[in-house]
Amino acid sequence: MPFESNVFINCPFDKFYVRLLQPLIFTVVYLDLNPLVSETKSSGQVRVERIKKLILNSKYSIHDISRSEALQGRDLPRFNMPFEMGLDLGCQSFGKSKLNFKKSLVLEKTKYHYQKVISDIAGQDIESHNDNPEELIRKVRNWFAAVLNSHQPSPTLIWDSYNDFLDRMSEQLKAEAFSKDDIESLPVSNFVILAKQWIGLHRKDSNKK
Amino acid sequence: MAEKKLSKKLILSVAETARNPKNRLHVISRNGKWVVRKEGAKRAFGIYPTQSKAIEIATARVKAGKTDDAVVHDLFGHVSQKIV
Repeated sequence: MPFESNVFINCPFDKFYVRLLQPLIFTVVYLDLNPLVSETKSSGQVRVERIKKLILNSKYSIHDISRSEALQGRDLPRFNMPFEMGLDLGCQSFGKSKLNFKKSLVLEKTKYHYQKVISDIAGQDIESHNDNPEELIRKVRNWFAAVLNSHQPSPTLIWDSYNDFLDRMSEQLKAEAFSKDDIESLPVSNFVILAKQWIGLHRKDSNKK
Repeated sequence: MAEKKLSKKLILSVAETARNPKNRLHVISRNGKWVVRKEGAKRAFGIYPTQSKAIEIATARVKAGKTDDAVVHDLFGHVSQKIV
């Protein structure tokens, strides 16, 4: 996919966040863009090189820094997301030609939380999702409608379609002996391909109606 | 560890569901309310203040034979209950 369509998604991969990552990926695909996610649990050096490649190849980035705090009492906060966001913002500032046109959206859980943990990002496009997938879809869709400066499907249509997709996808996977756990922990690459194929036919069919 | 690839057949079977909507009602959350909508429809059949009211309406339509079945989605979109 070309640079102009690629969206680097920098987010956590904990079990809870999957419930937000899936609608996030679904929205990006629904807007006819290509999500790039680095889920690989490879060694640090290999991973960071892979992330640098994703950043260089993506015009758009979405950074979710909502896990920059401990999820529960004894958990430690995660710093991968702020680190990767720094790489991306650095690339925008110091990169040449097309890299100067990169655009980023920063997501956080609650409004203005970033001011307490990483206030240097003030001035970036920052939105909160309150750990709510419907809100996340709305914020991401509205941001893309603004930066792409074009008409996009409504947030409600995307949310409704996402619910339809989850139901029908789970039904088909269960028929192939996937358990509830298998479905909920579906690798990101599997989810992306299923969402792309489903949305492709869904949009073709919707346009006919 | 390499991720397991999905078979082409399975990918196609999921995709095909996009153009074959079922005669099914979906109970989903929307903006703090609950809606009942037919699969694939752009407009909701009804909007209700609580999930239990939406389930009641969907159940009544299933029992009356107006729809084959209904599914209830949780706040994250996953199906939590099926009404047949």
